[in-house]
Amino acid sequence: MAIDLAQFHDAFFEESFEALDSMEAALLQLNPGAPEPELIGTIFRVAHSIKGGSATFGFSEVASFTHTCETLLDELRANRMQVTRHVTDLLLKSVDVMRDMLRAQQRKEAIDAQKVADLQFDLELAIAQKNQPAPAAPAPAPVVVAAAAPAEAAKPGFAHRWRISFRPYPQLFVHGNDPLRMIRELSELGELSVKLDGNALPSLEQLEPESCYLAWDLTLDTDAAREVVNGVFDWAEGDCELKIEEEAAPVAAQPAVAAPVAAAAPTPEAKPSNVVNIADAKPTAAEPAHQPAAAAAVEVAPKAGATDGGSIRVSTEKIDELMNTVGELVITQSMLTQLGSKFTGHVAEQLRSGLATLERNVRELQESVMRVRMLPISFVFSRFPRMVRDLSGRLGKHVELKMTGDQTELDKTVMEKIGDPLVHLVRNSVDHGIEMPDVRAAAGKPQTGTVFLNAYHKGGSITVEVGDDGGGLNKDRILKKARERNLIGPNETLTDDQIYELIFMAGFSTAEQTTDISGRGVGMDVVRRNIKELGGTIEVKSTLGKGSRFIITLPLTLAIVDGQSVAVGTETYIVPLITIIESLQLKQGMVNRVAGQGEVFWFRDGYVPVVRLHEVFGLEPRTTQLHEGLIMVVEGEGRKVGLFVDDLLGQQQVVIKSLETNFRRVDGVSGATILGDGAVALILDVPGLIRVATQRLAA
Amino acid sequence: MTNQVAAQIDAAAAGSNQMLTFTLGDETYGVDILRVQEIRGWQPVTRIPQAPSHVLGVLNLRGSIVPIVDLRMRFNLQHAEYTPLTVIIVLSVQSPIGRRDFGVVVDGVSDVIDVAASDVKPAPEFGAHVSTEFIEGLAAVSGRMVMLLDIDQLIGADVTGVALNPAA
Repeated sequence: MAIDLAQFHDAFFEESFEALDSMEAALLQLNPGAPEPELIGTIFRVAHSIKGGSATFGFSEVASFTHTCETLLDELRANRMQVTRHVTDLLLKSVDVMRDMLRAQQRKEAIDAQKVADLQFDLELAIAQKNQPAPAAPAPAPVVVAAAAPAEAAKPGFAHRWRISFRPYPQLFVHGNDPLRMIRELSELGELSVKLDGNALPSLEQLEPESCYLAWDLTLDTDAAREVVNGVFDWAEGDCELKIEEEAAPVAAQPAVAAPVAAAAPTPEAKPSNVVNIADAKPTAAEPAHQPAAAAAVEVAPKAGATDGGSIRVSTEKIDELMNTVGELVITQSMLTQLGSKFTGHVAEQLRSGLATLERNVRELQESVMRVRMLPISFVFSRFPRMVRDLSGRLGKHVELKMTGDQTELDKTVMEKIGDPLVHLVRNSVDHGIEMPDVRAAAGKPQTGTVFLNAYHKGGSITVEVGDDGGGLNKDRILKKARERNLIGPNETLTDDQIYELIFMAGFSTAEQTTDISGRGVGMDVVRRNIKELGGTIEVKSTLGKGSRFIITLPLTLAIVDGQSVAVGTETYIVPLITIIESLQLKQGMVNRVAGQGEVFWFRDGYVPVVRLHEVFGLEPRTTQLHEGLIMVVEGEGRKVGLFVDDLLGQQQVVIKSLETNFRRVDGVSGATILGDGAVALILDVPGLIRVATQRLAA
Repeated sequence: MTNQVAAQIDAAAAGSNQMLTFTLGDETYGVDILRVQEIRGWQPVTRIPQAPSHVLGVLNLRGSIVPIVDLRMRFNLQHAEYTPLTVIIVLSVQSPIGRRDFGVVVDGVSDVIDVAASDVKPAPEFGAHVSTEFIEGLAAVSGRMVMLLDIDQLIGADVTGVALNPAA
């Protein structure tokens, strides 16, 4: 009865990616010099469970690589090796490689074998260097550490004496196997004596560092059964010649097993000088390495800070369906409430009280469903510690990352789109914001710069701040650059805010030297555009020499928009509140005509064109006289227009529905919503509308 | 799912077909009843800017936003006033980008009739000035001629925004 393992692949990948995230987080917390055993334990368990899982599913490359990682981690855990920055770097790289490998497996693509092999070799080298004499780093001649090999006399008190002949093939290392680790594992099973056969070792010039030339003859006195001993070599299967034979041990309670002693153990003549005793490699006390993979996965899977109560994975489609249905329920309920108010009499009172309860329940239901889509922003924040660490290492800067409010919740769809802009901002802060340590010291600041990320709820939106205590924005430099690029006129004077605004313009980058990290001038304008697309805003505050702060305000969800409903003729439109600057009534004479065509009026500090919504949408308005209707000043993609409408109706939260489900995209309209009376109202796409209007004027 | 529906339709097309007939002026049209989602009375629609003139606007059909097409305007017939007796038939079409629902405004719904496949005659060619590409065929039912509509052809690019693949 074969079980199709493929059905579990998705779950395995998802769990593994999550586990790798937590491994990465733990690695970043790891203190070189004084590592916390618990953290190492966490990291080890991740490696172990991924190894187990990938072996189960037949991803042998992943399993083999993870095995090497695990070996290294085992050394760390047993305090046989120091946690250094180099080791942490290697392990972080391993996380990347494992992630790449798993992703490749998931997409059924080829694995970058060279990269994997290189890193695997580095890992093995690191293990070997810490454990002289090192089989992985071959020495010209094996060194005798201690010649006291108690090979002759069988120790009493053990059930078996196994003679093991272990002759690896040269490619043993390529598959991530470490003979040292196997031997150590054996030594934990009982009394082990080891004879190294270094006969095959070539001269140093001919030596291939990635090949294994060594072979071993081992004698093990132990209570462990053959399966256990065999298990040690599981990973090396196919990479070595292995013979395990039982020698009659002088123990009374020896089980009567027909041991194949007859097949003479081919004990090669090992020169006395080649005898290496590794008994000094003390077995570690608690060795939970072999706990079941499943148990390890359970321990690793919960995200830091996430509720560790039960959770289930649900596809977003199902949640969207639920949201739709609840939306319907809200509309039906409001219809019933309207209807209920028309009843009179003794029963009507009961009806109305029932309807009031229904209304409350429906609202609570809607809020609960909304909350299902909400995730803590730590899902986005979690990538930054690693990024800041890598960047600061490459740039030679000392940067500390402080994150607060990472449990602030926001909609998953918003979260998916906010990641890239935030990455960009954090990168900018590290690259451009924070100065080099000597510059900081000269300025009387601590050498270690701070980049901070902060998230919090404010009203119906979420605010994310990215800041640093670096040099701040240099106004003069920005102005100079803007003049060079003809973004502003040579004699224009700008306020501070307007100057900072310049960095969001396309093709603007002040970094003296563009690096591969940031500064190709495709940055901030894209950041702003992405945030605008989400219906959010970004502003910047900066003090020269003290640092800068980017403040992003985003809606909590994309499924609902705060809107102002306006009337044009018989139609009702919803204008997203975030685009509205001001609504005003124009008096006669306030409107000027440009070239007899376009109408403009003076608003705050400049002329703003009038866009007559009824003309753009081809409607019959109540009035065409500007002073009889209302002007709503809206902004989209940095341009302001005065939208001429008949009347303002009211503000409300509306559920966004796509027009494209049954119809097609319409310029100037971002979607539709259903009003309380069941009628449909279109939601205006202000930037699109401005584009359409400008094209009309140009035509 | 989609295939099942298509298979059903094919199977039905091989033998006899149930058709919902409706009137536009003096003419009677028929659509495959399996495509009919709902029949409802006229109610004012929300206009869509920049839409073709025969796309009147959109309606809320139990939570989804459904475009409404005036068939008189689509067929260049004389415009009729919308009265409480005016009917909207909500149909579903298969387009290259999936199932789409839309409503057609007609003068009134007449009947459900059985049309044998053998009774369906191809529409004659009228030349360039009369377009017949969305007429699947003509059927004579109890002395009246019924024009059977191919709604997939009828509701093409102007509603979905995607040109219909003729082979589909």
